[in-house]
Order: sequence, then structure tokens, then C-alpha cells
Amino acid sequence: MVRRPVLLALAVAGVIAAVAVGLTSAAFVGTTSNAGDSFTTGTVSITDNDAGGSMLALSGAKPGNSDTSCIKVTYTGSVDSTVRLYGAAAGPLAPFLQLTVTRGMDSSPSFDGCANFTADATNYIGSGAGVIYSGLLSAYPSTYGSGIVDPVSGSPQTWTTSEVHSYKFVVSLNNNPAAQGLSATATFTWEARNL
Amino acid sequence: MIMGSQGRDRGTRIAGWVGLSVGLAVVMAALYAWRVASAPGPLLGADVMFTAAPTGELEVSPVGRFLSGTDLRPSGRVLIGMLAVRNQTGRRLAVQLRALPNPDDLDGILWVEITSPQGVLFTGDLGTLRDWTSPLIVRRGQGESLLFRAWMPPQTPSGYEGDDAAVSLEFLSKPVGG
Repeated sequence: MVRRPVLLALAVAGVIAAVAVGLTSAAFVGTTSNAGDSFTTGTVSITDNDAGGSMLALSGAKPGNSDTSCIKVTYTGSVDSTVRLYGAAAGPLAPFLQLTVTRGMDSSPSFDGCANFTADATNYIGSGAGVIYSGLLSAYPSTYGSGIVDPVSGSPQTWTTSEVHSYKFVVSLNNNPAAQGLSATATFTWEARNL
Repeated sequence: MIMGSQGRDRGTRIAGWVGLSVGLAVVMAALYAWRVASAPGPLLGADVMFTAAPTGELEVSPVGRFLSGTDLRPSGRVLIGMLAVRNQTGRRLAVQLRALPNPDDLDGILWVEITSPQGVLFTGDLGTLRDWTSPLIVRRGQGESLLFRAWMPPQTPSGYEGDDAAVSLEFLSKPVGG
């Protein structure tokens, strides 16, 4: 038979043990919380430095006349993307205009000057350093699907936030009497789509 | 014999109680010694970061973070950052700035001042910077330097502790004559 002091001692010891367990576990319990969670989507956004101005103009042109302009394109989206170039050419003069598009960098751009333009060193399509298109304005791709993969389809560039590239456009009038008195307009587009 | 047995039992009980008391004291002393001390000093201050990215019209330098500080408190400490913007269009631009909304902000707590050689573009709390600042005129091909100052006024009430503000700037550029 267990004696009363022993029972009392066991009870007190149990209380002490319970308190000790409670206190020690309380001393080492840690929690962490993360408030203010938010959810946003990434962006795909691409801009240029034309400030609403046009790049190219030929007025009263004669065969061999040309115009050169440079434009800086900046990727301002947050999601990595690839870019394609295409455009919309209209008017009967388009088949008589030769267009060359060269990709590069401009150390001090000021639309639409090319004073500080440097072409990419790579001969992308066999038409010279940095050239990504050389052909008639009328043959310039008109949709994203048929667009020029920047800079070349075999090795598309991944555009990341704040990435910039400059493009030099040269348009010249071919020597063809059939071009007399004609006109054309064009719009050039860079389209970014996320990977 | 009976008296001797009773005296021995009493002595045992006393010894038991003494031992129990000593054990209890030892346990309490041990618990006190092993307790986890509370964190010393006041709570954390606020962390602040301003960032900028180029637009089609404007080149910025540096790209990304240009002003930052940690543990900012209403102590009179001022964070300073410089941001250069350059007009890369062929036209004269009126440039305005604003702070994009962010989840954890210090609106009404953090004060910001933006100055350029042309004057003060903005002075006010971060919440007010959600609206466009006064315009900065940047000539074509030219650049301007912006000085940013951020601080908490001395009378700032609590509520900033451990908060952070990652402020992204947005630019609005409009061609202007001249």
C-alpha cells in the first residue's frame, strides 16, 4: 500500500512536470505569419522612342533617292518574351521601294537619327552585319505569323525587362519608270509575346 | 518501540517535505534560467526602395534601384538617391512621374521630395505621389538629373514598424512645342 506522503510527492512532482513541460514548450514554440499576400500577373509591353513621329519619308523622289532612320525599341514588360517584326505597306509605290532593316545598338539615341548607331556584328541572313531584312517594301511581312523573328528564326532573342535594341531602316527608290507619280505608306510593328 | 517508530516516521516525513521543497526550488530555478529572453530594443524600422525602368521615350540611369534604405525611423535620417533621365526622342518632352501602387506601402508616413535643376517637382507623402508630379521639360537628346529625398517626419505615429515600401516609378512623356 502506498503511503500518503508518497502519493502527495508524486502528485506535486506531476504538477511540476506538467508546469515544466508547459513552460518549456511555451518557451520554444515559434510561429511565423506572412500577411499582405498579393497576386499580380506579369506584363508584356514593348515601346519605342518615336514619340508619335514617323520614321521614313520620300517626297518627289527620283530613282536612287533614299531615307534613313533609326528607332530604339525598349522592352518594358516583366515576362520574358520574343519579338517579331512585321508591318503594313499600302499603295502602288510599295513594289518599287527597297527596304533594308538592320539591328544594332545606339549609344545616344535621338529619334530618328542614326549618328550613334552600331550594327550587330552578326550576319544574320547573309546580307551583311546586323541586317535582318532586305527586300521590297511590298514583301515585308504583314502578320505576326509571317513576321521576322528577332533577330533570326534560328536563334530568337529572349527579351527581358528594360532590354533595348535599335533598328536602322533604309528605304530607297528603285530605278523603274513605272514608279513615276506613285505613292505608298507603311507602318512598322514590333510585337512581343511571352515565352 | 512504538514511540521510536513514530519518531522515525515523523523524521521521514519532514525529510520528504524538505526534499520536495528543495526539488521544487531547483526546478523553478532551472525554468527561470532556461527561459527565452524577450527581444532587446525597439521594433524594426521601415525598409524603403525606389526603382525606375526605361520607357520608349526616356532612358534612365541607373536602371532599377536608385534609392534604398533599411530600418528607417522618424529620426531625421534622410535617404537620398539620384536618377538621370534622358530624352531619346526627337522632340522636346514634358515628363511627369508618379509612384505605382504597391501592396505594402507607407502612404501618409513616408515623405518624398523630388527636385531637378528646374526646381521642385514634388513634395509630399508617398500617397500623394500616386498622382502625377509637376512636369519636367527635357529637350530632345538631352538629359536631366533628379534628386530624390525620402524621410519620416519626427512626429510620425507608429504604424511603420517592420513595413516596407518598394516604390516603382512610372513616367508620362508628352511632346511639347519648342
